[in-house]
This record gives sequence, C-alpha cells and structure tokens, in this order.
Amino acid sequence: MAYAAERLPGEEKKGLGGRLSRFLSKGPLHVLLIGLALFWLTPSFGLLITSFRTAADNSESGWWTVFTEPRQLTLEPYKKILANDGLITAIFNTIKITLPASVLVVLIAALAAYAFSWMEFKGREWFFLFVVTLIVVPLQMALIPVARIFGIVNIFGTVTAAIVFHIAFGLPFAIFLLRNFFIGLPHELLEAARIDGASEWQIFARIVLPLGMPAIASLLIFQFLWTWNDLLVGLVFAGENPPITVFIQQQLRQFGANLEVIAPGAFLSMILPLIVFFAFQRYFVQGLLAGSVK
Amino acid sequence: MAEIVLDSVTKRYAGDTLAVSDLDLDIRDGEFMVFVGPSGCGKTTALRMIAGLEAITEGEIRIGDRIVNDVAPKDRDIAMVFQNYALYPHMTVYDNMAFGLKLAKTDKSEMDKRVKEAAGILGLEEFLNRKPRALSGGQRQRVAMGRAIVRNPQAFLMDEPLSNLDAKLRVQMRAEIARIQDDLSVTTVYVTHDQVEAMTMGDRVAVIRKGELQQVGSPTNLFGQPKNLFVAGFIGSPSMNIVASRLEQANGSIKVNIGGQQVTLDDQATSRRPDLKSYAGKEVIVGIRPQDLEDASLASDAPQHCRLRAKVDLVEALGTETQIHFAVDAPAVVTEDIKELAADVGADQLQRLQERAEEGRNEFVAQLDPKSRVKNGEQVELVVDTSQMHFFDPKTSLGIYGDGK
Amino acid sequence: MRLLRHHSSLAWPYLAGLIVLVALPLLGTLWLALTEFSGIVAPRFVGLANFETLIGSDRFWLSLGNSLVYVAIAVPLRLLGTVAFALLLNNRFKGAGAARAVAYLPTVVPDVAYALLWLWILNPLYGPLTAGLEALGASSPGWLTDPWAARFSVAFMGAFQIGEGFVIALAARRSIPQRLYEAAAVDGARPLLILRRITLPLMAPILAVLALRDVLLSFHTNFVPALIVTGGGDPRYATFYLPLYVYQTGFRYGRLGYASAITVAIFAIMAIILVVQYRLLRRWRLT
Repeated sequence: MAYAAERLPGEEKKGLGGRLSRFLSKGPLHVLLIGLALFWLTPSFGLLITSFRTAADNSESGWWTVFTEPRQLTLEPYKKILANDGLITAIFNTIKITLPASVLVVLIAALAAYAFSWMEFKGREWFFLFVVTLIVVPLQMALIPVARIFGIVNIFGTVTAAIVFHIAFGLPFAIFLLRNFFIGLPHELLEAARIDGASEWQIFARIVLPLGMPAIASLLIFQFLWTWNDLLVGLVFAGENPPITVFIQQQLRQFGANLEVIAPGAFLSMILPLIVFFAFQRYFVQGLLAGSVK
Repeated sequence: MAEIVLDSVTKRYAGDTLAVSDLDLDIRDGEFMVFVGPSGCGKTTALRMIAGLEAITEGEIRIGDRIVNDVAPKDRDIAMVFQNYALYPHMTVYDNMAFGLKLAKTDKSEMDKRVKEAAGILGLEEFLNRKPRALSGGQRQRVAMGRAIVRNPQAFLMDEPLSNLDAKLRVQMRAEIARIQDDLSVTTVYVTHDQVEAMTMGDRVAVIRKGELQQVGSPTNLFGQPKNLFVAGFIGSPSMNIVASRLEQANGSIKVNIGGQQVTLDDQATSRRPDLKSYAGKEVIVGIRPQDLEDASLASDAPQHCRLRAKVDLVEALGTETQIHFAVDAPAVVTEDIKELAADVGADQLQRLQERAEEGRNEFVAQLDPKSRVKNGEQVELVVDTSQMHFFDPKTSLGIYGDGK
Repeated sequence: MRLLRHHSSLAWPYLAGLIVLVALPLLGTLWLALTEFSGIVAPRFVGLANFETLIGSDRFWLSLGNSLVYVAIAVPLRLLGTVAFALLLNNRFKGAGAARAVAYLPTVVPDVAYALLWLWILNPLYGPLTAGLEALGASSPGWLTDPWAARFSVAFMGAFQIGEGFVIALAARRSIPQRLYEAAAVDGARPLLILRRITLPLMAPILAVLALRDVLLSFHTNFVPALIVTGGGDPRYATFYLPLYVYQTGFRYGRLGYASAITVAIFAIMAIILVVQYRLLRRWRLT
C-alpha cells in the first residue's frame, strides 16, 4: 500500500527533548482531531439520548441535561414504539425495499459491467457512453413519467415500485464503478481462464466475481445505505407502504412535534445502517482504496 | 501432440495496421519453435492467433489435422504461459494448476495425480497450499508452467515467460523449460525478444520483423547464414559489426576495403559465396562478428592479408573474454533494417548511429581471448576470420551467398 | 474478438431497463413540461405556456435564488471539509481507523433522522447553540426564524454528510506516490509548500470531479432539510428550494405539467452551471 509513514525523514528527533518537542508538535493535532470527532458525533449522539427521554422532558429541555439529571433516561419511548404497528410495518417495508434493491443492483451491475469490460459486441462503447450519461440524470427528472408508468402497470404506491425505481437509478453508477474495477483486472487472467476451458459464465463466477469482491462489497454497502436512507423515492412511489423514513416524516406532519414516536423511530432507522457501517467500514473504505491504489 | 501449421496467416487491425502479414510456418510435432523479433514485430500477435485469443484476418491455422480458425481457445487443446504468468490471485497454487482440469470435469484422483506430478517436476510440492502472492517470481513462473503441464495439451504456447525474472533466474529457468519441453516433447511455440533466449532454447527460431517472417532455421543456421541484414544484426551478441565497403578483384582474389584497410578473402571464403564474384568493383555491406576478430599477437601464424589495425577506444575485460571497442574510418550503414535494430535498443542508439554515419565513422567491437594484453588507447592488430565474413547487397539487404540466385 | 461476438445479448436486458425507467421518463418529463396535466385526465399540449408562467412566477425566481445561495455556501464548505479530512486522516496514527469511521458516520444517518437532530440543535428555546451562545454572553439569531440564519443553518447541516467524497479524496491522496514526498523532504520543502505544490495539484483532477458532482447533488440534497427542519421553506420562504417547489407543485397540488417544466428548468440551469464550472476548472488547471 502506498501509505507508508507520512513523517518525513530527518524530522525524527532523539532523546528526551526531542520526544517532548514531538509530543508538543503532535499534541495540537490530536486535540484538534478529538475535538473535531466530538463535534462531529454530537448530533448523532444527541439523537440517541433524546430517544431515551420522555416526550415531556424533550419538550422542556435539551438532551444534554441528562448529564446533570441522568434519571431522565428511560426505556419508555422504545416500549411505546415497539407497540406501534405503523412503525414496525414501516421498518419491515424499508427492509423489503432495501435488501432486494441493493442486492439486485449489485448483481445486475456486475453482470453488465462484465459484459462492458470483457466482451466484444457491436456498439459496446456507445452503450457504455449511454449508461455513463444516465449517471448525471437526477432522479427528480424521471419521477412524474415513471409514476405514470407504475400507475399503468398498477404497482404505484407499492414496495415493488420503490424497488424498481431504486434499481433503475442505482444501475448507471453501479455499472460505471464495477466496470472501471473489472477493466483494471489483468486481461491475461481472463485469457488464461479462457484457455483453461472456462465459459464466459464460469469466468464471471470464478474469476471476475471473487477478484472484484472489494469493489462489489463496497458498492453493496453504499447502495444499501443510499436506499435505506432515501426519503423522496419512498415518499412518491411507496406512499401507501411507507418505509421508516417516510413514516417519520408523516408523523412529523400529522402530529407536529410527536417526539415520543419520532426520536426512537429515527434512532431505530439509524441503527441498521450504523451496524452495517461499523461491521463493514474496513471493507468499504479499504475496498474503494484497493481499487484505486492496487 | 501435434504439428502446428500457419498458412498465409495475416492479422489486420482496424485502420489497416498490419500486425502479421502472410506468415507461413510449419512447426513440427514435438519441436521447440521460438518466435523472436524486436518489440511490436507481431510475434505475440502470431502466438495469440495460434491460441485463439486473437481472430485471424486471413489465412489458416491448423493444429494437428484440424483447422482451428473458428475454434474457441478452450477447444484448441493448447496451454499458454503468459508474460506476467496470469496466476489467479485468489486461488492456491494447487487450485491454479487444477483449474483447467476442474473445468474439464476431470476425475478427482486423476486431477490430484496430475497436479502432484507436475508439482514434482517443478519442485513446487511444498507450495501447493500457498497463494501466488506468497511466492517469489521464480516460483510463480513455475506455477504458470505447472498450469500448462497438467493439462497435457497438444501444444505449449509461451509469451515471453521469463522476461519478468532477474538475469540469473532467467538463465536457470531457461535451461529448466528447455529440459521439461525435451522430456515431455510437447510441441512448443515460445515468443521472446531476447535473441540469446531464442538461440539457446529453440530447435528452430523464426525471426520476425514488422509482421513479416525473415528467416526460420536452427540457431546455427541463423548465426552462420543470416538471410538478410536484419537477421544478421539481430542474432548474435554483441551484435555484428556492419560497415559499407567495396570489393576489388586483384590477382584472382577478392579484396575487401574496410575503412581504408584491405582484407583479402581466401579461397574458402569465396568458394562458399560464388555470387560474390559478380560484386567485384561494387559497393557491398560487410558484416564481421566480434567473435571472428582476434588479437593478432595471440595468432601470430595468421596470414598478413587478413589483418586490421586500429586504435583501442575501450577495453572491457569480462574474464571469459575481453571485448574491445575501436573506430573504423568507414561510414556506418544506415538502412531501414539497421535503423530498426538500433531503435529497438533505444532512441539514443539510433541517434548515435546517425551521427556516426554523418561523420563517416563506425564503431566496431571485437571479442578477444582473455589472454590478450590490449590496453586503452593502444594500437592493436586484429586478425579477421575471413571465412566467416558476411556480405550483403546494399540495395536489397539480402545476404550474398550462392548459386546465382 | 470475432469468437465472442454472439454475447451481445447479455448487455441488453439492463439497457432495456435503463431505457424504460430512466431514458424514456427523461424524455417523458420533457414532453410533460409542454402540457397541462393533473394526473387524472390525459395531458393537454399547451406549448411553452408552462415556461412562460415559470418566468413570470415569483416563487420560481425565489426558489432558484435560494437554491443558488445554498450551492454557493454548501459546496465550498463541503469541499473544504472533504479535503481537510482526507489530508488529516490519511496519516497513520493510533485511532486513525476510528477517526475515519467518525468522519463518515453522519453520512450513514438517514436524512430524515439527521434533519430531526438539527431541528433540536437549532431549537430557539432550549437548543444547545442558543444556550451556548447565551452562556458566552452573546445573543443568538433565531436560527430558524431569521432568513439568513436559516439559510446558513441548512447549508451547515449539509456540510457534515461528506462521507463519500471523503473516501474518494482519501483514495486520491493515497494514490500520490510516497517518493514524491521523500524527494520534497530531501529538497527541504516545508509542509505548506508541499501541500501547495504537490498534494493539492496532484489531487486536483479528483477534486474537480468532486466539485462538479457536489454542485449537481446540492441542487437536490436540500429537499429533506427544507421539508423537515424549516417546515417547507420557512422563514418567509428563505429556505424554499427548487426541489421542494417541484414536489409541492407536482405531488401536493397535482400540477404535474408545470412541475415537469420546473424540473426541466432546473436541469437546464444545472447543465449551464456545470459547463461553466467545467470550463473554469479546465482553464485553471491549464495555467
């Protein structure tokens, strides 16, 4: 990897004085970093605390007052929302949308990217250019006509509608990313496999897919997060089967500051992405980096 | 095992670039055939067409008795060793070697037997469970070989398989590949730009230039009777000294003028090249291999009429031999062939060649016996082995040999 | 390769899907922009009438102005944060991995939840910002009641969610060969000079792409904060942005034709800005 120690040679000083001056020169950096980290984490942490306070407390004072009055913390809000059918359904809707949408995008994009990088066919460059162009189309541009198409095939308002839309708008970028990764694989590997007797499908499944795993994993995580966090698509297409984000937004509109439901709901909506993120963060930062640095 | 026949094979890319043009070649069953030539000469393209990785524009390729033009690589029953080995990085050494057999649904015990056998031949037994990443360059090269061997194919195709190894390992692997090929006697096509590799390994060597076959023959044949200036300059190390000259006929023998000095050809030399007589009084290009020059003080019985005198510019004592560089007052030859050969060495080599041609100077290299006591800046007298001198027509660049053709 | 040409069929299904769901709807939007359409009865062709209405509409110019202000504040903020994090967290130190995770974290939080957090942070009665400023003896503007304070607040929120750009910039920083830094050290270059002469120029191509992408995104990412934090564009339409305008026109009031016209207008404006930006970046990189 290309990130050997950044410190420049000659900067290294020996002895007590050196160590002291080094600490002092590094100290501000560390303080800065820690400060920044705290600052950065504050909003998310605040939400967590808020979700453990009662509606009454939340409307009277800010969440930081728990530091002086820790007994404000209670599991009540969670007990309440776990009994809230709407919210539970909404979470399941989100899962029903997010899982297929992210897995299918990655799967389809991997196949297409393979075709675009390693198969010869007429007009390949033009097709790829077309796909790349679609990356810049904001999804807002397609909302209304797609809503009509969905209306015609009678899936408007369903989870399926949201899935299909997410896939369609996830594909261009996914194909672009994976194709760039695949095309960086040494072509001799594929030729070797061809000579070894592998069919196109076998090359894809046994060579390209395992080697493309870093990129595929990071794409899968990205796609999962994007889909999970989406509000607009869910709002427009899956309004009758709202995912959690839409559910929270509806609570907000209907009941004003319905914090009792909203805070724990919001926190629940964060939990899965957070778990995914922390479980795989090594993968997806390193995966993307591996792609670019080799 | 099979012979491979290339019949007027041509590869033309879009935009009409000719990569390989009208290539005719008969590679015999069990033969070690080397394609050699400067980079970009089309030798790899030719190999890839045999492998089926590159479509054939015109002509026909036969492996065994089958025309393979439209046969997919996997159905050609060949194995290939790539320049960068192309080992599957996510598979162990064992799986790398077994991959082709697995795809062919080979019986498990048979597969195991073959992989172990190949590993035994190559000394890879203890590395079978490692990933390629954990191997040295030489070991990776062996795995690539092993992958070819286990398939037990009709032919091995090797694309510069040693060029990523350091010099010492290259020499060792060179011998090893030659030995394995000899043991298995599988028809092999081996591509390299290194003429030393070509000469040491090949049963026959095909020299290719700009997509065209220049000459096919045994290494001795290429070295001794190069068909043209290009082959002469490409084969041999250090490369042949080439100089423009004039032939004079006097007293029934032919004299060669080399930078103002006369060398008389003896009867043996002239009788081997009957055509030479018709060039009397004309311009020719003369080639002298560094090996055919010797320090006269070590060969005092050599006749006086085949000696050159020169001032030594540089002495390189290599232990096994001593190379000296000296200038000859005759213009360097600048033909397309020579320019291409120089360019293959490097851009500055080409420039130096052109400068020397303008100055009417030529730099020669001689390979002397290490016992020679020649010193930098001294005058030296050299004996030329006139029977080994080469002559080329300045217009056609073709070698001047025999029977009127 | 002639041997493999018959595989073209493999790419077709996806392309068909993309055409039906992305390319055709794009054209569909262009068409709808020329119609009056409520979603109930068939669209009626009205020519450029929608665009004429648009040009004469105060709300359009208002939302366009707000969107441009948002882009002008948020994009530089986000880029600055992106580069700063990428350079800071590229170093190897204890906890660097955790620090990278922290930098990415706000991006993982769903926009809706994230917007709620800010709703509380900016709360005028008990929000920590107000409380903090008061503790310091300063008075705070009504974060969500003063127009400019609200505009800054919304842009500031966006500056935290820069995870993707951060990862990309980090990758760009890492692809700079270490030997350049070694050479600079041997030459005795000071850190600031190294930053100016090596790091930034070599990252510039990627940063340019990030900037273009960010402008594009910033025309849309303010939808959720405007919907939730400022309750649909308050105060006094200071945070009434284009996406919100489209959403309300199309999906609240059912004027789909007119909403399409606004969308097309946004797309055109974005295209112009991107072209100008691209030109500027190219010129800047050449000189």
